[in-house]
Amino acid sequence: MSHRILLVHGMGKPSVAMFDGWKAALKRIYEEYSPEGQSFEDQFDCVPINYDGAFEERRTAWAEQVDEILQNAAGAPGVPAKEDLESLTEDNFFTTHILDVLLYRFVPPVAEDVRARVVSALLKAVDETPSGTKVSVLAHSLGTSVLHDAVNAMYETPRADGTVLSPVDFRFHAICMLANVSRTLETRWDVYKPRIRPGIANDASHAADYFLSASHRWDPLVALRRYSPMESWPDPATRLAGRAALLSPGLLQRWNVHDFSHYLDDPFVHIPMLRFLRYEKFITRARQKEAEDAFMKDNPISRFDDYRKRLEALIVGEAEFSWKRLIEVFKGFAKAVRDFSEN
Amino acid sequence: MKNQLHMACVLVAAALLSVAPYAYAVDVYDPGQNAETTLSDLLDRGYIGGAKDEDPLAKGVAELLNEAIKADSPTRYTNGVSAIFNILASARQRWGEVDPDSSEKKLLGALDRAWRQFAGIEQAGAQSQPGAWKIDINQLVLRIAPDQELDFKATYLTDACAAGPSAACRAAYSNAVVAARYTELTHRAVDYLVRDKAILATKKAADLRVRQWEQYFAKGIPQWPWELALVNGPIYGSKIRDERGLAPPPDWQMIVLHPDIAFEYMDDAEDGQQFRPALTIEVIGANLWSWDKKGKQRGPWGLGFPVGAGVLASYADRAGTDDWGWGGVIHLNHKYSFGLTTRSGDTAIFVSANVSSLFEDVMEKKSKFLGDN
Repeated sequence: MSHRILLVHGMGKPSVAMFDGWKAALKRIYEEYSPEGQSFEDQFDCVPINYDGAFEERRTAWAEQVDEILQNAAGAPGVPAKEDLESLTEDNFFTTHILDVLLYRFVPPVAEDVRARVVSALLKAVDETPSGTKVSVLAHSLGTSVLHDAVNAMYETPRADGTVLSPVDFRFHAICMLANVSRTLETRWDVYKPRIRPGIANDASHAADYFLSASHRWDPLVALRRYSPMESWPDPATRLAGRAALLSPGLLQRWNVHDFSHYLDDPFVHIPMLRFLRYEKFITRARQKEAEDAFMKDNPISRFDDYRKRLEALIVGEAEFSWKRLIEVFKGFAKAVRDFSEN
Repeated sequence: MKNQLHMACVLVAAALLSVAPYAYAVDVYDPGQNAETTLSDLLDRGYIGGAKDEDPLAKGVAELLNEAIKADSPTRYTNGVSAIFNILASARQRWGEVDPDSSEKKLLGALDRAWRQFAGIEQAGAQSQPGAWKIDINQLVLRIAPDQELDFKATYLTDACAAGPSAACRAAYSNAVVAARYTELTHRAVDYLVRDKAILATKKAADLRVRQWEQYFAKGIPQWPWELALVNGPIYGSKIRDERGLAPPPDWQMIVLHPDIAFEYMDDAEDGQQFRPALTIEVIGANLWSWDKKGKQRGPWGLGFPVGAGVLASYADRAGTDDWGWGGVIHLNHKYSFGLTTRSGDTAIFVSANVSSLFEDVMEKKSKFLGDN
């Protein structure tokens, strides 16, 4: 292993199978381009970073509290029956997905608990990586916001002696954010200002050598507040050196445009990402063109025209952000995916 | 016999080389490949100075950089410095007589400074930072210091390989591999000395926060969603706006419209009605604690345990008196609550379900407060 990739999941209940699916997808994509005999495992090792406990524990605690009250107060006037309250505590899209995002964005104690867990898990994974080995991070959806905040916190948290960790002592090789909602869920840290940026010089200004952000043109969840730094961000020299990839892929492959694999399967996303993880010439221009042409042929823009229009209606530009707007867009998107998949 | 043995050795060597083409041949340029791309590829895959490098210096350094040794152990430090010294000694032996203006001399100077900085002879500087030894794999450049770069492409490959594979290109490539190996090995050694010690101190701080949040959520008085999302969350959020890094959890919680189960005793009630379960709703209250250095909750103001108090309404179905009453409650150590309620002029004392469970062997615990006389 020459390179460790830390995987930071998004909303929902992550499982071993989910992370294995990510690894399998990365392997498949990598081996499409790697020379014969060079497997994904020869080069890379993946470690999941799971912070769902912070949300699951809240859901479970509330379910238990409800149970306790209802058990002891059943039959009392005004106290509802347990079965009438099940929708609040059973697993459904709201409780397993939307609730995660709402808790992270709007309930600071939960967000801080998540950040502490992720910082600890990231540093544990780095500590267990042999010296000199590159460490990169790949995050999806809610994970992009969590990672953004955790990495900023990691470099600011005072240690016992009052000092803080500096990027000159450790920085990531690449930070890759697919379905980047870090701006949508921005709270304590400005997404464009602090350290989540690439750089060239060996100084404390940047947490990674390379940075990739992908926000699909038709993904309504990233569009709530699109991650879109200026052309010269973070600085002209770093941009000219090709260390930042700010991607807005626009072709639709399937209904769930926010899904991890919808981003990863797109060569307009995975080719820049593989070049960051390996090196620029790992994929030649000719091979890139071949992959992109094939992808465009297999996914013509016209194929999902009706669906695209439905998504367009959800993308109304940057209105004032609120939890109501967030829920509206989530529900609208989930419904659109359901309606079109069922037909 | 001799010829057969010789042939067997040749066949074995050929078999080894065909299985692991780069295992012993990394220093030798394959004319079928672009020299720069080959260098980038082999560096990235760990064949030059990395875990897969079979060069004796690389293997010796790898043995010294024993990851099983703890980050703050003096042995780790000694091993890391020894590794850098070995790299420096090898480079001096190879490049001792080179042109003072050459790239090799620059690299030698940087290696020397790295060793001196870690040996404590010189103050720590750029050469004792892992990032200073990380080769830019695309540009094939090493930025040793803010004003000093070693350009592997320009130094070794651009001119020599301009006309394609040639003896000069192959020689230049081998020299590039040597320089890249020294650099990458130094990167590993500096990372070994610096990284884990630096991150583990931060991890310790993060772990403290993890323990504190676990205490806050699991040990505290359980918060209902509205308490967490509409009261405690926003108040806490406003207080941590200027915090740097991982914010500490609060040392307080507001209690608002908090339902719970308690057991009431009213001496003046009719026989058989004195002891009843009650549904309480703490209308407003507060719970306070402090944090110790290990992330455990202690009491405020020097007390040994968290304390709280509040005003509550209580519902108990009891003949001969009002169902609803009002009163006050005290919370001790998050778990135990005591209070007084009054209804129709009758006073009752109550304890939380946790306290009553202490008396399970004495009293029968009533789980429903309707129709259970």
